[in-house]
Amino acid sequence: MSMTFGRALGLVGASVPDHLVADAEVPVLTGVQAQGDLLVVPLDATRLELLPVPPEGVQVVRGEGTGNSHWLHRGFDSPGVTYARGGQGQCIMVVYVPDDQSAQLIHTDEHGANGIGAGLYAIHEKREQGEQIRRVCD
Amino acid sequence: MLDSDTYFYEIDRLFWGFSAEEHEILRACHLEWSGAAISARLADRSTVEAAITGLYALVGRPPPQFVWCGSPPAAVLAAAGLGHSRQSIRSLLEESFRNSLRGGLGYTSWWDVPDHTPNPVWDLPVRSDCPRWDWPDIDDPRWEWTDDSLWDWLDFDDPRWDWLSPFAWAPERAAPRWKWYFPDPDPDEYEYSEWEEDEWDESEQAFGEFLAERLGDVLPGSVDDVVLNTLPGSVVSSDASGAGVQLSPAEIVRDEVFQSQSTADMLALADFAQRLLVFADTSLMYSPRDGEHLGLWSTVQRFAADPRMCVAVHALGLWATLVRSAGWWFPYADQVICAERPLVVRQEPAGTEPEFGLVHHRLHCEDGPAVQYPDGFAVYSWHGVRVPQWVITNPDVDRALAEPNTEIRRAALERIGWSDVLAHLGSEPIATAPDPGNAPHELALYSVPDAVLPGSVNLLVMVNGSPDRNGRPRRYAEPVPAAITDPLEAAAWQYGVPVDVYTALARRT
Repeated sequence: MSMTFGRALGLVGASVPDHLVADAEVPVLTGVQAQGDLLVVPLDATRLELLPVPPEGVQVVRGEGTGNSHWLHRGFDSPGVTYARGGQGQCIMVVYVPDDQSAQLIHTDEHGANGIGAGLYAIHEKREQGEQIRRVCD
Repeated sequence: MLDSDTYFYEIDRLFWGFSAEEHEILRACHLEWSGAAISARLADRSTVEAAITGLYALVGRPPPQFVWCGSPPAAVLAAAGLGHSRQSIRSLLEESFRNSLRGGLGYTSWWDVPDHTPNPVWDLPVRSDCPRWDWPDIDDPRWEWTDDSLWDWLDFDDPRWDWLSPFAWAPERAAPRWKWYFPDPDPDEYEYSEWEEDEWDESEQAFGEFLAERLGDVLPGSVDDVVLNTLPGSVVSSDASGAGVQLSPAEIVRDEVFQSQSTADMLALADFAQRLLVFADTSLMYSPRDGEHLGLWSTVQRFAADPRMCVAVHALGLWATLVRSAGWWFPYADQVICAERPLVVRQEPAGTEPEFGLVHHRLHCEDGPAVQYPDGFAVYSWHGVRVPQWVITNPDVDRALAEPNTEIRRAALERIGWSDVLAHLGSEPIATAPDPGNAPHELALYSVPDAVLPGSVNLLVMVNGSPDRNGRPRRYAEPVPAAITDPLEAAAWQYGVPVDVYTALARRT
């Protein structure tokens, strides 16, 4: 089943904002891509212990109480997607997508969804220079 | 081949580290107690009054009179109004709390093991159907546990033993926890007969100390910060002559108030210890070989010999009730002044503590009060910085630029939005570059005049990859270190990646 914005946001129980086209297909990329305050970066190798992504998905940034959030989801036909939290610097999560599968990074509001193709990736979060350096929420 | 550092690290982790399950418990304790401490539900007055009366009884005081106020500043004013009649009994209560805590960290009562619930173990009252036994004198020689006659004397068919069986209550808690008690992992080497009662005490004490040392900053600190942040800065009262008197609730809290809500931090620690000790004892009860006798002995002697734990558990229950049900309260000899809890507390995540994954929060609300009390008193906060109300509700560039406090000035300018501030100032960018993956938009880097914000940041102006819900693309600016003068480098710094990774960006949403 091809992944559209409508289906992707439905997976995490969010409605499609009016200005996004619900039937538009979510491109699945294997390069660098950004979703608001998150950046997805392909990696060469890692020794992390990875956990299967549960059917309901995982919230990428923990503690976003209310408001909008980013979810990592294994979609409809990608049971092999695994992840681990943590990492160096701005990296907060590592994601592995097996061959012929894809993972979805889904935002509950304006950013819609990003499809992630086979490979190993780091997800980096954005920071800014405040009184102290702090993470950017969108 | 492991190097010695790694080896000792692994050994250390094996004996003193926390399992994934324990990390979950730790996070649950943190979430539960920090949540209770900043709860925005109204105080449960009858429960609060009953619990405080109970604490007064524990330190030998008659039931006090209660005065309820709509916010902490109102309570400070009410306390000031007591004049000479106020005599704080805070130190008495504090001592009682510390003793209870010591008991709570060191001892576990089987009576308080909950039925299949993850609630704090002291949360439940002693069950009324718990059978009472008349224990023989602890000096009775039959208690000599190495003596087989003990086992003859105890009747294991007695159904009351079921009350000592953790499996009967909470089988899922039966995880092996030898490591807390036994420094030597090899049971063949272990001479359990050498363990005496005082050594048990010592090992338990060591456990409490270990937790306090290991988590002392992490768990209590994070809860405490959250709570103290909700305190008002200062209030103005008038004295008898009508002149204004400045009162600082934060100072009064330090000097006079018993910090009921800030006990949440220590309760979180004690709760965690209690939950782990349940694991520990469960394994001792049913661990293989002779450990089971040892565990049984340990449990039996606690039941028989130590009323302290019952008192500690009872007192901690009262404190826990107060953290869940009350706001700030001031204990005086005959009166207790209680402040209502806030109606609203708004926070944002402020980073994750790396070792245990505890999420820290700070007060933040960009369009209203971060804390609002029922009597109208409110606290405004921008990313954890306390600000005057105008910064949030009526921000203005000229007023922001005139603000002498740089922290507040920065908050006000951020509230207005850096891109509007730049437009107001009419600045020209230092440099621009096409935004990778986000054509046709550009990245533009601006410096901030020293008069606005002295030399610490440059501003990166960007356009969002997706339009907002109103259909318009949003232009916004975020501060980056002033040392960065290239827009692409600034964007790469924000995500913590090399510039060539950022320039390879294929799609931005």
